Amino acid sequence: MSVKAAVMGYADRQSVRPGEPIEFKVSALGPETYRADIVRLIAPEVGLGEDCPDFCEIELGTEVCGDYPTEWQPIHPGSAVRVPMPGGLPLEGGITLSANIFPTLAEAGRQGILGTYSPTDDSGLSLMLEDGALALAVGSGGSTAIVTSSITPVEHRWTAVAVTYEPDAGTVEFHARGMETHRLEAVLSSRERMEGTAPGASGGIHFHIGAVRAVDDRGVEHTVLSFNGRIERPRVYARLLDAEDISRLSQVAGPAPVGGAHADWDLSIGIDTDSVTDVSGNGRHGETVNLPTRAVGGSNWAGETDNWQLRTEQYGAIHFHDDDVDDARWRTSFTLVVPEDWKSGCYAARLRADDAEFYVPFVVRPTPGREADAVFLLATATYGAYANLRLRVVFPWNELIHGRLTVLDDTDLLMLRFPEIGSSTYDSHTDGSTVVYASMRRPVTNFRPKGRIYKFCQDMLLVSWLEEDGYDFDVITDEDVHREGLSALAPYRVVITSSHPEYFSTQMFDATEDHVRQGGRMMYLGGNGWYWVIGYHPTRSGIVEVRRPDAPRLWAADVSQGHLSFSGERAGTWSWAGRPPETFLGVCFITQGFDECSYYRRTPASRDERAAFIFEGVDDELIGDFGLLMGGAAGYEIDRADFLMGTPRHALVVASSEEHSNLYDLMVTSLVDTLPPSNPDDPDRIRADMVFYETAGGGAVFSVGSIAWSGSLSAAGYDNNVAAVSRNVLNRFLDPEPFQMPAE
Amino acid sequence: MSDFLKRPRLPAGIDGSRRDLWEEFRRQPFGKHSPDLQALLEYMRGGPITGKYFLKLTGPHSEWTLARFSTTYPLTTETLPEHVFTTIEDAEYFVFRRRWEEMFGADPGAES
Repeated sequence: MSVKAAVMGYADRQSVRPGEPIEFKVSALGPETYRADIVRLIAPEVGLGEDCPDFCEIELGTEVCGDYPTEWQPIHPGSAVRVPMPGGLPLEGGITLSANIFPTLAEAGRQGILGTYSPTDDSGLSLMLEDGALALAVGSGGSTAIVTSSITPVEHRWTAVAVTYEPDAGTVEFHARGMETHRLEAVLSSRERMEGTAPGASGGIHFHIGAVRAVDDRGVEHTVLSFNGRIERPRVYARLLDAEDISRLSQVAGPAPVGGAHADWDLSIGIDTDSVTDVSGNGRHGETVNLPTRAVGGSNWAGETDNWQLRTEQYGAIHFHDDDVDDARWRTSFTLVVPEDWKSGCYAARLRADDAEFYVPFVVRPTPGREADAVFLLATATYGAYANLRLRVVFPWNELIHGRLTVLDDTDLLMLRFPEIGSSTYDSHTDGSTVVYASMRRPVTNFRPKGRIYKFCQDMLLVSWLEEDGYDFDVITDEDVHREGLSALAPYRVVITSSHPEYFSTQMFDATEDHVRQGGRMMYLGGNGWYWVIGYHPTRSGIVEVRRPDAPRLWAADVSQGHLSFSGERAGTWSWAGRPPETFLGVCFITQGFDECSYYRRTPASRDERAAFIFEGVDDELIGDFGLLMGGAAGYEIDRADFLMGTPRHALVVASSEEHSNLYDLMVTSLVDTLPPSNPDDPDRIRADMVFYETAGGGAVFSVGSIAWSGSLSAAGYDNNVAAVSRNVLNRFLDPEPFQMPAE
Repeated sequence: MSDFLKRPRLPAGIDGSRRDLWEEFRRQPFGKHSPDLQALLEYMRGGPITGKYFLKLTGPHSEWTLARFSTTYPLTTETLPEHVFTTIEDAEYFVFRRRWEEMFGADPGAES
């Protein structure tokens, strides 16, 4: 039977300068070859008709374009800690393995807790869960013996577990002690005998915590049989401990309760890193694989604080998941060195195999010193948080909250066909816990210029307007600003945002606000911006972290997770962190609805002479009562000015939307309780506000507070009042003449 | 997924006799609706993902094919190529009528 063609890919970065390399990793199924081309993206594919730009991509002849042999590169999800252990475990005097465990999917088959076992070559030994029961897997080099106990640690409870193994006698003893304050059974033990199996090989190369080792048919080492849940203070003793010693091992803080450990990993050390530290003195340090969740409460978490930095000793657990994936780890299929003469802009590798197509977009930054006056800031932090938004495919309430039938395309459905590509920070892991890390180092199904209109595709509507109007502009990414700070924005007079720049790190917030404070101009042409605090992995690009302690229901972190692991910063919304977006943008997200978009009506403030430049040549009272995104410029996700929350006192609200559908109310009252409370008697509470204000340094901010703004620019061949307002603002913002603060 | 996401309830008094709700939906499938139509839509649209209808984009924003999720996990999808639409509105009407018929036993759009 022929295989349905598929092609997927990703790049090692989303941003590259002329002269620099960018590596593409591709996996394909079906035909003998797949085709790769590099294209410059000018306009997205968003529909037909005079209100839609024609899809436009320019094929660029480069040496990497061509046909490549089809190769399927697997992804191995599941997180673990990997510790180099050449020669394996010393078994001569018997061995003891122990840890505190908090299983979250106890009956999910066979799960590795700690040890050297590998099913690939039936070597080593590991403490396991076997359909919920403690077990020991021992490989003898030719076969594997599983010795299963009668002890079944309770799901979502901490249990101190240990196993001792005496190879010569073939004796296996399991020990478990519930760690709940009130429990029925204090101590359980189970003595088993291993029958008919030679003493296991000691296992070589690597010791794993939270999974076991395997090697695929390409010779790539990976993990399998992942544990779902938390593991704390795993220890190894190269001798048989007695029951009394074992009873002391559940102690996680302070000096070692039993001396002479072969390895003793204190997982509270290096929470903001990929490193795992052995405190036994034997130097058996390790590293995490596929980013298991750190900065989660351990068995001794006491609720005094949700900040892991203040009670680090209470955060000595790591939460492992069988679907964690931080990097597909595919080999590079081709490397493009960006020619020196390529203009800054949006580009992509376009991959095709039979009728399957997949885009891997990237940004070319300008050569330093050759920047334009305006820069489009591509929202790669937000793309990261939403990368592979599984919820958008399988969430039962999609149709309800969108007020329309759910529309999906072939690329969306790759998430069902290849679930190993992982999830977004809006999704849950297999065990129901919330995903907090998301990566662009894997195929990302919702980062593309075609198909269902979403994020990058929508942002290309802004790019196509800039192209159509002939503006000279550069494109850079959120991550460029995060890593480089203000210096990434300093060459520019005007920063133009994406349509949905929802996720901002401190570095990004600081840089954009400092830029405006020093005379720069911000055109916020989107909605739901600067909303959630995000962290980037300290050393590896394209990996973001989000936790939502102030989202008490949907997407909630558990109560111990108030701070990001990557940076230690307060997690949640920027409002929750004490820096409401209103203080900078003048507006903040209030609600959403995807069934219909509305229009803005000008306010009396739009006649203020300070705002005259915004509406020059625009006589209409209604702005944006048209558009390809559900018929209006105000909608999808909308933001409102709120002077109590920090909208600058001299800001002008020059237009406000009205007449939004029921869905916008529903989101406030019924579903997402991250939204600020509002007065239900206020008929205008559901609205997007268009705001303008000047800064003391000669800069200015213009905000539209609506994702759908981008969808109205192209109406009537870009001859409409949304395009006119955008053009008026951009032209004035490009003018070096400083803005003046109004008189008190 | 959190268990607070329970299917909305169908209020009393909304039954197959309310063809006025179909007429209202036919006039305006999107945007502001009467409270009864909104409640009916939330019930219809708030059902489980298993067996749920959706639209597969089969032409670049010009053609949508009716599709359905599997009734069991792991989720798969099946397109129903006999139901191809060139407007979203037509697809909405079709699914509304089919759901109504499943709920109340008759097609509200049938010629009477």
